[in-house]
Amino acid sequence: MSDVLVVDVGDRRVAVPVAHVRAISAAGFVTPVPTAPLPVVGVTQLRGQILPVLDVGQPPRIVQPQDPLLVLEYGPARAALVFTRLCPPDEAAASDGAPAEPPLERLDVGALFDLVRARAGAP
Amino acid sequence: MTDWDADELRTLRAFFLDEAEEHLETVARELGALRTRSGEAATVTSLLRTLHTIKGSAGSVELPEVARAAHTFEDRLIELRNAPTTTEAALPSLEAALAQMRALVDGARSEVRAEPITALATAGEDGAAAPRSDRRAVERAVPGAEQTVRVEVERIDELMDAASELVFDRTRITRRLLDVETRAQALGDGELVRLVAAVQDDLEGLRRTSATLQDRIRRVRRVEIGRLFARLVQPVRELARKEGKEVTLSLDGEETEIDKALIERIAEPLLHLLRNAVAHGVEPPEVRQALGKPRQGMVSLTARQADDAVEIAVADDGQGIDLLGVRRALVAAGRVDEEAARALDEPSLYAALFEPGVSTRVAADDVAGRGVGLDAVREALARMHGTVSVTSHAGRGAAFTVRLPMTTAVQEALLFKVGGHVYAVPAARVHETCDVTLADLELGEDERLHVGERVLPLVRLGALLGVPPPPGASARRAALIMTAGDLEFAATCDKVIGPREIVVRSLAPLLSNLSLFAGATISGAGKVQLILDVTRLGEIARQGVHHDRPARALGLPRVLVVDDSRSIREAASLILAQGGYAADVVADGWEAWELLQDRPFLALVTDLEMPRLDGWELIARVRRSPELTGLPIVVVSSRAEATRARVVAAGADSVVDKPLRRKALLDAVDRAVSERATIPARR
Repeated sequence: MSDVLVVDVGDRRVAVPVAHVRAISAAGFVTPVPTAPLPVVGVTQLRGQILPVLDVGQPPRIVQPQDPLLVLEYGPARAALVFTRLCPPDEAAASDGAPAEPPLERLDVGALFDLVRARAGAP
Repeated sequence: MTDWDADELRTLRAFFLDEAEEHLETVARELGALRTRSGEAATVTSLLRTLHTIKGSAGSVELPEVARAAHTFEDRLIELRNAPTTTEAALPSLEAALAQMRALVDGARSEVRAEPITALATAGEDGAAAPRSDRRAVERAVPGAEQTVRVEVERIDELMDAASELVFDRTRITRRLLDVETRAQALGDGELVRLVAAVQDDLEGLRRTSATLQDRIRRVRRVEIGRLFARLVQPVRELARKEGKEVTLSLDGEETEIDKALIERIAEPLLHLLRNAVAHGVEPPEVRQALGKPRQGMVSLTARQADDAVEIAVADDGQGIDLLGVRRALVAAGRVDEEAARALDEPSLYAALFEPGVSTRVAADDVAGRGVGLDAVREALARMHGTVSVTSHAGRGAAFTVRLPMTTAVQEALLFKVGGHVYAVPAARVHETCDVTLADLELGEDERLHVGERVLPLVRLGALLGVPPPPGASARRAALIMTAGDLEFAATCDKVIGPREIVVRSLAPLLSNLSLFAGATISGAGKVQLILDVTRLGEIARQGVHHDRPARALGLPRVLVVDDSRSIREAASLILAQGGYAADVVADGWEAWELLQDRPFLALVTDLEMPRLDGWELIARVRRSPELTGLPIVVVSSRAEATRARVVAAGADSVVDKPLRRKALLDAVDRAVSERATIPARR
């Protein structure tokens, strides 16, 4: 479990590989991007860098400025994953492999970015 | 026999090998994706494009074995595309093909590295010009040999970013100073007011200095496009020789400056267009003679500065685009039936040339014919926010004009509001703003705006961006009158804020393909504001996106998928992508209904039981709507058999069982679309 951060995203519990997490930050103002496909809910900026904000919750919510984000990196691409709560290690460990509620899903950051890229690819 | 001297060939191969390595990495990554997303059509198409590029380039740098290997690889992929269920079985042979290509590229690289740099010593000793391929080594080895310093583009970008921050900082100081000025005036403190005025003067000085700094850095980034043109001459000459054609390539506008970062990225698209001009455009000498034309065909490559863009045109004096051939290719590719093909006008046929899988050449060969050339050109240009347009005259030739925006880090922009959000466009592209009322709008088949005596094509930004006007908005709107190329058009918004100096930033790599946006900027309050791509808006205005050619005009035909189950949405989305459709997904009928009001869709795929607005009500609303009544609807249901009769009676075209099966869903969508093809999906 030490190689992941476990977060709740709406009603989902997601394990995010630490190797792809660059920062934890507040969302700030999230600007919607019309025509951007789900799970992109908008863009925000972190120290001048523009980041797509992704919400894998079901259904996606309106992100508030104080909502926390994980800044993810995969190759040259970065994006921010909005989450509702960071699970403490003991709680996260209890979810690992046990029949937990909600079940723990491991986030494949590369696949998530591929999905966004593919969906945004059609102009 | 070769037209290259050894140094030229080595230089070109070095360029090619660097590119090939990147392409092979892409191929490897996409093969991996194929393994996990079995048979995905989009991945296969993307692989075909990459291999096509390698093939064409390898031939140009006289590595025929690499070109042949790429061709064989393409053959295997095309087999897979035609029989996608065999992905698992096909993967070992695809991976073997990749390994073979890697070995060939590695072998070629070893040969290039093994060749001695013979000119280096000579150049250092007597000052004679070194061959081009060795100049870089000379510059590194002989300090001061030229008054230049090589700097990575990224370093220049960092410098530009830092200089741009000055604008941001200055804007913030200006805002705060305004607050101080207001307070000082309220307090009646004359000394403080004078101090504020002095600081404002200093800020103006800072503005001038930072503008100069940015301009100087910008110049560092620019190079003359002639450097690129020179590299393209030889591949064209070589191709003409292979094709048995007599071609003169004329160059013009080589002094036009272009961003260094673009020059490498534009090379391949231009080479594609030049290859097409030679292979498809210019006729063989004997044919030209019989037609009364000079035996020697003419291909021209020209560049010019056009407002805030650079235009590069590839033109030939050949046969022009074979419109009949394009119609046949569209029918052969299953895009339209013969009757619909006959009805397509010239602009639609030109647009079809850039779609995947459409080629007018009957037999595939090393140069062209698999329909993976022009769509790659369009995609590459779209990634640079560039566009390509076509003109053609039967028997007299064709011209492809590439337009690349010259984005600069700091721009004068016009800010405006749509749906409560602030957007920007480059101020240079807006030549007028005005207030309009509903009476000025001509809605319907082709939307237009009356501005005085003029009637302009119209883009309603609220509808395009899918945002309703803010609460309490009046019937009055503001309009921006803009130009894109030779088109003057209007775009309505809620309110014009005014001109501002902004720092342009990339929208983020993951979203760089969203063609509607040219970038983003950050307001003084830290909010991201999106910059709209005026060229794209112009295209939309010209095509009339709200009306009779909706989805295809914007790219892949879009299908709206509505289901409250995420896994069904994902599955449907993937299946539709494999069938050549782009899917937008929403979780309930209400969201779908809202989206249908604002965007055109080719078809609707919907569940029945959903929160807020269920599928039954959604279908009923669509069928009652005069604008949407012809929209093809496919229902997905776990009780398909039991509900089929009721669903069809409610207005759906067909029902598909859950769990979703690829063939069933694609067949149903294809059939519904084709059966309703004569009914416009949206007014």
